[in-house]
Amino acid sequence: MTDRHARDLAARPVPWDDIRQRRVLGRIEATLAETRSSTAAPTKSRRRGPILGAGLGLAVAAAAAIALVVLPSAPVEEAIEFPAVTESLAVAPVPSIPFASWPELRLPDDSVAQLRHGARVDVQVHTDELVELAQHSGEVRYEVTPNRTRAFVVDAAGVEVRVVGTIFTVTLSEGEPARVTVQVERGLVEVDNGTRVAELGPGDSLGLDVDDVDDEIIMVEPEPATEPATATKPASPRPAARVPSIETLLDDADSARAGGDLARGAAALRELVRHYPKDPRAYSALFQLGKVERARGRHAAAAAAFARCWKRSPRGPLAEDARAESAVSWQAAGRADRARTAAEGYLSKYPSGTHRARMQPLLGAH
Amino acid sequence: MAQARPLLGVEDSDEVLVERVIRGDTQAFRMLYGRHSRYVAGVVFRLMGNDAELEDIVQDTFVRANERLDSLRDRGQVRSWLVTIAVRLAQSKMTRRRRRSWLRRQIMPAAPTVSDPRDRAPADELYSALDQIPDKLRTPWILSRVEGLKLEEVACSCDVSLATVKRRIADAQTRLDRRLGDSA
Repeated sequence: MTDRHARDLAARPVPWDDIRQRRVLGRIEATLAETRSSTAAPTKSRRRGPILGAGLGLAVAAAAAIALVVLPSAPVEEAIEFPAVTESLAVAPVPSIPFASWPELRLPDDSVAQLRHGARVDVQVHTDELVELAQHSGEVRYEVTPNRTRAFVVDAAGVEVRVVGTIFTVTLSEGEPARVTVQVERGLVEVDNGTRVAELGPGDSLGLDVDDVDDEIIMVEPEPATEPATATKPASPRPAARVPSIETLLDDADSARAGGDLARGAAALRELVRHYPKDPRAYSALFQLGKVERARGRHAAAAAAFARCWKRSPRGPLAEDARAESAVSWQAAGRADRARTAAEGYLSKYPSGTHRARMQPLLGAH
Repeated sequence: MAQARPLLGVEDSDEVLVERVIRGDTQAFRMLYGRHSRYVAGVVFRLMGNDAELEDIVQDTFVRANERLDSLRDRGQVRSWLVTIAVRLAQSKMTRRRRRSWLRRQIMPAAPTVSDPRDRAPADELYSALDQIPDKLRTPWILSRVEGLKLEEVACSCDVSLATVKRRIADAQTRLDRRLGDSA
């Protein structure tokens, strides 16, 4: 009996990716730098570190112990702050804007996607609240018109890049594993691989191996090479060959969940949403995905799924619940800023909503 | 005869990196971290059963390692040494977590929880069982049965004798069999 459990445990994927690795390295280096620079006086630290002086440690030990036992557990994840650029993680130089006249996809709000090497892009959603593009391949430089009332999302092989207004380039390199690289020229973007969320600022670059980072990310089946797309209106991607039917994916998701295989269940739901975004069942699949990710303890991914659910159909039957669950999940993910924004959005939309009481505590979150 | 030169692109061994780190080479430290942090994170994740404190423990492991690297005698064994540090930190966290959990049960009313049994994976069952056995049994069992470490390595990581670690693993096995057998 325990053999099976031990094997299952050994096979469980470790939630450790490039983003996390970078973040922890940044903290380690900050701690070591503080240790080196301060010989006696305690200095402010990002978090309680092990390097505090022994005297100070003794003085605060009692208070800390009380706080530790009384306070609830810390959030699972913390807001991501990227460390200062280091040599080994050097930010790649941002390429200058070429003069070559690449094909452009100009959106109604004047945002422009410049389709460079082998780029293929589809507009999945274009509403006043949400613009979502699916980048299937190649390199695309996005110049997004600032607009705080609508979300702008680029989905490249499951890695989501969310922006308000900025200029950045997303490159989806084919290979084993495929790699998504995001380079920011101006503004801020948020990169979400379904497991972790990272913020990138001007000059930052982040590369994610798609297969490495999240084995649930489903690559879109490559299609025959063609000229770069110059889509001018929303287009729905056709399911590529060998994509399971939506019924198969639903069955797979249900059986995986029933069997306790949450990773497989989430993968099936993601695949369903990716390949059948227009199907009405994708709407509830997003909500289910949020629940599954939450059950797996992946709160940022859960929040993103719930948010996609309500944004897909802001007046749909699940919209109110999805908005509330998104806020709660952001809080669980340690993203108090996003939780507060989401809670404010909920209360603005549903001032007498059924989740009102759950939203109130999130408003004061820091 | 010309002396053989190392091939370009061959990475430094752990021994070389450790020497460089001791001399203050921060780049070498990053390489060492890049080489071993994922493995250490895996061990910690499976010991703890969740990733709530994963980053803190990995961080503390490498900070502590950086400070004490010159005390490492066999510099080729840096990975085992890192695991030893990580295991001790994880055990400390687990002890604190148990105390916190106990106190919370004492001072807070039991909150109703809703869970879908279909969402429970076998690993969750295992952790439920592991949570009910002492940490001194849980840790060697996971290191041996899940991580696949040799008994000598487990003994070293847990800072106990080989005989003790064997006894603890066997004890943990008996208790887990009983609990998981009951729940099957």
